Amino acid sequence: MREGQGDTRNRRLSQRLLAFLSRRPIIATWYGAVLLYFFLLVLLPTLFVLSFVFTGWQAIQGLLSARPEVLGTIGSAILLSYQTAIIVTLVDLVFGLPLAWFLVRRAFRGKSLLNTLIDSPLAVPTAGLGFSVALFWGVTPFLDFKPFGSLGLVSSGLLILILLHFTTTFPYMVRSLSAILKEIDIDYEIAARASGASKLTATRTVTLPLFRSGIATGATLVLAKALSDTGGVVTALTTIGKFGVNTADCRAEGELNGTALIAAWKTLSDVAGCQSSEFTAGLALVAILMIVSALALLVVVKILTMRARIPMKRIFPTWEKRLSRGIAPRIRDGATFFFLIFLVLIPSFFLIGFLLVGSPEPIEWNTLYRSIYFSFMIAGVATAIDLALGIPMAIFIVRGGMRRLGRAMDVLVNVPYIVPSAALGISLSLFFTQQRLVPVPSLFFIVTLAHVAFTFPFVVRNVTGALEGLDPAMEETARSLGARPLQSFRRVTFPIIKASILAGAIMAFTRSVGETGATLAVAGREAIITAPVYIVNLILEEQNFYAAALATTVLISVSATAMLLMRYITRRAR
Amino acid sequence: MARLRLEGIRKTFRDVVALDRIDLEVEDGEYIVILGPTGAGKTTLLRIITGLLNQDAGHVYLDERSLDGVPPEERGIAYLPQTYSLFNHLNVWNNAIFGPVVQGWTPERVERVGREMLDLVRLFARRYSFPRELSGGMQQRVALGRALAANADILLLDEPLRALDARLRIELRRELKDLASQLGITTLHVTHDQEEALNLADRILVLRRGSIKQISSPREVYERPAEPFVAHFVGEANFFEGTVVDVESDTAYVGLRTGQRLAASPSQAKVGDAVVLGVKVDRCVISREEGGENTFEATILRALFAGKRTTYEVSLDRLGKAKVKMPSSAGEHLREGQRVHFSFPREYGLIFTPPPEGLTAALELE
Amino acid sequence: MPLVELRRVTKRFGPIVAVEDVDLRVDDGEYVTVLGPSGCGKTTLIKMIAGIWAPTEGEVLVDGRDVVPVLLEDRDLGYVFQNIVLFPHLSVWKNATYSPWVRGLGEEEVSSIGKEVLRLVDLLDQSRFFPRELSGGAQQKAALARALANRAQLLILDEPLSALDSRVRLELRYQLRALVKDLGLTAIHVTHDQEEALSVADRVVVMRKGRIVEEGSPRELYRSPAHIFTSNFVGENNFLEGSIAKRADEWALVALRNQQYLWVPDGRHSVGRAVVLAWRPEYLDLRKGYSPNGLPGTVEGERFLGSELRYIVRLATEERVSVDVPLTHERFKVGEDTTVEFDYEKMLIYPRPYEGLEEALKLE
Repeated sequence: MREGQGDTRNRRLSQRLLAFLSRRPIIATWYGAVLLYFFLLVLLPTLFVLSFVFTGWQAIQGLLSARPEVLGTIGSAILLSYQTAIIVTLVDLVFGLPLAWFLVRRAFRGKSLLNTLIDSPLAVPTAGLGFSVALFWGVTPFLDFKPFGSLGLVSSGLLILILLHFTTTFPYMVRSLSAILKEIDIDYEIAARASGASKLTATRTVTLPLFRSGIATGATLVLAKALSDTGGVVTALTTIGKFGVNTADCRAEGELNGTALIAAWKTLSDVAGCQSSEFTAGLALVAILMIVSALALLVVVKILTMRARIPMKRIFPTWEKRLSRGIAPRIRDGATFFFLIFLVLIPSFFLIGFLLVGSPEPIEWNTLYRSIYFSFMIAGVATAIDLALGIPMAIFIVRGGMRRLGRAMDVLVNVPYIVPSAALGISLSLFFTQQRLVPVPSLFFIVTLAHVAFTFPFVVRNVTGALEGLDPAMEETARSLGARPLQSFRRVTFPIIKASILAGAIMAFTRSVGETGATLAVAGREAIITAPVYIVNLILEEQNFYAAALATTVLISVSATAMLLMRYITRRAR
Repeated sequence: MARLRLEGIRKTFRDVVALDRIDLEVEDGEYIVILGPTGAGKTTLLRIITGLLNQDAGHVYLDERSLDGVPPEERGIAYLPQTYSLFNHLNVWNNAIFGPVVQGWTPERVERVGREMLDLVRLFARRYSFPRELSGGMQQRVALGRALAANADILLLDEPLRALDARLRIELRRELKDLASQLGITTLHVTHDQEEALNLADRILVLRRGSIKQISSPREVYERPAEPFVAHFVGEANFFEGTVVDVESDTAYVGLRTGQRLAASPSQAKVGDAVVLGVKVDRCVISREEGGENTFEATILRALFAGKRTTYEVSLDRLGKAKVKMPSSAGEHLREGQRVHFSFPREYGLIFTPPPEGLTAALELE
Repeated sequence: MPLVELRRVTKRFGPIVAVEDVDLRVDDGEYVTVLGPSGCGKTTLIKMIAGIWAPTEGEVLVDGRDVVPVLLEDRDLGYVFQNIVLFPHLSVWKNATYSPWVRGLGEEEVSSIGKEVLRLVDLLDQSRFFPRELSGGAQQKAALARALANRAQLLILDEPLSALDSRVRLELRYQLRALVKDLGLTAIHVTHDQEEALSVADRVVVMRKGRIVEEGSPRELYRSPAHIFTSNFVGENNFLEGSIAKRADEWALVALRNQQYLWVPDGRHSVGRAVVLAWRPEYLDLRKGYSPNGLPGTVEGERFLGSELRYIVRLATEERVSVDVPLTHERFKVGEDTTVEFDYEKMLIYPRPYEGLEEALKLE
């Protein structure tokens, strides 16, 4: 009897607590805190470097008048970045569309295997990818033998960067295209074909116009990824001998793109003999230019895909019919799979083969373990923060009741993702060295914040996606059955979106583990050595390719486990 | 004991008026059907009553207690949305006891109520199944059981039968009505289906473009419609435009532009008034023999056999198309293309003032 | 010459048999409805006719030619969807002229076809709108115009009215049938709505669990359904269970529940056979006092249905029946004793289904 009473009292207490926590002011305060954090510690630091135009104008002017050739170096580096990104985006689109179609519209055995294969390059940290791709395609001046199976063809920086970014971006393209294609009712295609349109005509005049947002998302992701990558760029260029840091002359050498330039200058700024203030100005200038141009490019992409006049007015019934059947579709599918296998998959994993044929060289296991420990610490803490802030943020965006602000946040959350992470790192370190608002406990703290900034969008994206797909009537029904908002979230919404939260968390985690640019930009190559930074160091300083391959393989196996786990969990939750 | 009162409810979305001047009093245990076409504001009204939406003006009272500003979970109003919103991650049992659990009832009481409700909707045996394993009709019953278990004073049903097959809908109507009257729960049921409304309601509220057109018993709504739209929406009707030419104690006479004179039941209209005369299609008759009063010569255009009844589309000479719905057995000898006499008894002729927006616009179904 | 013919068609999706061993003929100019509850395989059936899915076994012939290998775009048919599926990025005009446009017809021809089909569905003055700006009924009419613009002789209608308000549905039924008949098209129309099926079709095919149960003209199916499932699915019905106790010429004495007996006309079933008697609600009547052609019962409820009154009566057999009477009929109060009279000419009699009555009538 007594127990029963205690039970009742507890229940009453929890009811009252729930009622209290569900009150509007409490919820509003919570939202406010999340927004404040986002603006103060994510968005502001990310874009802080832009203020350098005003505060550091003299430093920039000083640099430019002292070393006028710097402007040319920056210009050609950024040009190289954009050439690469645009070409990669277009090629990815050409091969990504048929592959997405194949994945979504056809039923076949081994679909999930194909999906895993397409995603598999994501398990390789980009530092490893750059090195693997360059080993496969490139001439390797530092290597005294030609690895078995390597082609040894490419010595151009532009070409090797393009080949590299196929591997880093193609999975993103296919993934975002097929996600949106899935949402387009196949009945549209059937209706078009029942009206007499051949497959190609139906696709061109009906599905593609409905598909614009998918193309825009895919292109944005790919552009951002290609512009932002640092680790892969540095290792790829180093492997083919196009990246060098001349500490004697305080000069960066080789065929550098924007992020490689940042990495090089950051290294030089720490060298005792070089003028660090000049490099600070230079780095800020590169970061500013990259951030501004990235944002501008994405606006252009958005406008292009939304305004492009598809369907075209012209129609070519006979030609399109001919291309829709017989051998043409087979050629298309063949080319697509050729691309997937020979330009994406094999280059990505070539380094594992290299392990088998290369001559073993010593590796400092202690440093490797330490670096992996660092990577996982940072990724773990960053992911935890992402979850704690990302979920309320997503709820605010979708259900916050403030439409304008919600929509604005939806766009702003993506800014740290779009901004090249090396530039973001520069901005962040600038912010934390200059501001006096928040005490900075350590470099580790800043690196973690940088990782939060560019992984945050993964969690928010995934959770908003799931929330938008969730019928609001679910929560409303729960409320009318007597559930407080908090209860309806915990008992109804959360179980349904759990899988998406987990997917977002694992994506954030793997992205953080594989990241190089921001870490380098904040901490340099020596202070905090994460696993990808260690790989860069192995290649850059020691040309110890074997050890780099070994370290990468260890990291791959860890990341792959995480990815398989994600697949397993998301599938089970469905 | 649960009486619901709505007073001057008004709701706008941006510039669009979704609801205006909604007044309604619902007695304890009454079954009210809110009937109207898509976009009439039916769901908006339900959402305001549940508290999921705030009205711009007006008040909602439950037993004289004002519900303004009270959050949905404290209103004691169970809401069954159109899509049922079953919690797919919970089995039938956990769906059914959701309300009791979140309201913090004792385990014994939760157990008892869950069992009671699932017995009521005949699904206790399927308590471990998940919603996706059930047929559409069973899902609907789970949702109903879940809503009833929350111990609400009022039950709101938003098109509860819409997602089901036509034949099953007819079957479940009776079940729904039996359940509500067995529990004596005050119910508001939204639908666009006039047959469903006639079948279930104690009173029907006809809603169109955000305002109430009529609230009365099914029979009143059917036989004494307040305006041409109601006459046409609830059971089809034929309309004739004309002028009142004579009024007697039990009959009003309407002259048509063709010169014909029709007799109808009397109304407020005076001699010389322009009026619309409406008559329900199932109160009209066609036959090959000379008919009684209000007769037109006509040709059968098309016969649509619907089982119990057959609807004939006929062309009235000089007046255009009209419809007649008769028991199929009565029209066995009628064929498409035949010449017939169309007629209707005067007591079924209803006189309306001409709608200001024009008759066609006034009758629009969407 | 039959326009469409299915021969022993079966469709499996993995272990699930969606359509099993179906034979069907649709003649030139015929309007056929395929009627059945959700999941009975009716949509799969027409998707095979349209060429969206290929049958696992069997042949699909159009005008005597095997069309299974023919691609959807070469089949020459108009297809109307349940969920309407107008191209959202194109105006009503562009939707309606999509077919002639993609076939590469000349500009003048395209526009004359567009005008013609939009006039047919009475949407010419709304041709500049986009689909989302139209009401549900108008959207489906625009989709119908798009299908007609294909100039095909065969129209496939996949639950064309299901997404619409019931009152609009009623209105479009008339228009649909009129259009098909006026243009002399062949139509195959799938629906779960029995009234809709009866009122638009020349012939109704009833499906259940992947098989055809029965087919016939609407009147035949309503008046004398051969299968007990049909008798309940197509129009409501009241059922009394019993067994033949005695026979005399063409009459049989049926022993019902609770020691109730009824003489009914039947020459088919032998003594001892379990049977089910069926009457539609409008074939029953209520009267006060005793009737030799009736059973006693108690009125449980009265509903006004618009055109008639419905009484729910609990018979002495403990079975509940619905009785529809004209509005002018003498009234009964709830709880009042009454006698339900049966119209023997309209009676249906079936052997008791081996799986039990409830299972045999199951609607889903």
